[in-house]
Amino acid sequence: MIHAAFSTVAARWQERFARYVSVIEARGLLETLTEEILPKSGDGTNRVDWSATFTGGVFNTQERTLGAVNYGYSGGIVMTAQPAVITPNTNLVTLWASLTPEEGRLRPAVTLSVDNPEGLRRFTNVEGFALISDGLDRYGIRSRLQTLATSRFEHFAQLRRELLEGSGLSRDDKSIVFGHFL
Amino acid sequence: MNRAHTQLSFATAAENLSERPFLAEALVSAGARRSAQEEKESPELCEDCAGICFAHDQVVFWLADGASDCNPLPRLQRRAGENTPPPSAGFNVRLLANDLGQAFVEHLFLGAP
Repeated sequence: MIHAAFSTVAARWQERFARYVSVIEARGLLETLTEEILPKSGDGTNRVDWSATFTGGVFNTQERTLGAVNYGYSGGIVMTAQPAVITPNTNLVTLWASLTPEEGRLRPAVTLSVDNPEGLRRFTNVEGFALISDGLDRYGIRSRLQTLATSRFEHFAQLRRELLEGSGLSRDDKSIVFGHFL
Repeated sequence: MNRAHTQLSFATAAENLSERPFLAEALVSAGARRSAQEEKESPELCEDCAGICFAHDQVVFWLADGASDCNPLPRLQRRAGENTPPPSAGFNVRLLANDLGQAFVEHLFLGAP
């Protein structure tokens, strides 16, 4: 299901990539693109890729059910009777763009690549959730989430503060998504 | 040690939660400002993106972080006299992170094909 959602991104990017290459060609710069900018493999195909982590979920506030998916180094905590950690992994979402020589022309394509595609992980009796993006220290988040999941807080604001303190002065960016009943 | 003190637990009572307001927030910090030279050497830092779509009893939420070591293709400027305008955007991981989030919300929440 998530693969289907991300496939729409690949389809949109393929359309845009084809237009991009078409404009480059019309400007007489195709050789610059294929020989100087895009990496080229032995068979003459140019390939370039873009990758991202992705952590997401859908929460039903009436049923208190949550489905979550995680690709990559970010993670989170789901507040249930037994708090659960959305564990970081190394499975990124990647789009591959290519220009393949074919009958005297270059055929542009964009394809989706997801290592170990997974469905939504289901949780019940959920009181809240917290997601946190990866950092320059990619491997510190797992232990940090485990520590937070085994800590006691009097209020959700305390957990929020704990998460924010981890995003102090740094060259890195940081994002946090947080939800709970008042 | 009391097990209740070793787990993520809260003073809030768990019963009747569905009758109480639900709060959701997304915080995105872009990272420290960098010099022009640093920006040139590493143009793809600060790609964290996040979003929340909340309506009725459903909350869709996500965060994504583009990989900084991927090569961007810059947006092409429009030129006078060209029949075909260039795409409105180039290709980079920040756009990818945003587009993944948008597709996730559309697929789960808005019912897009």
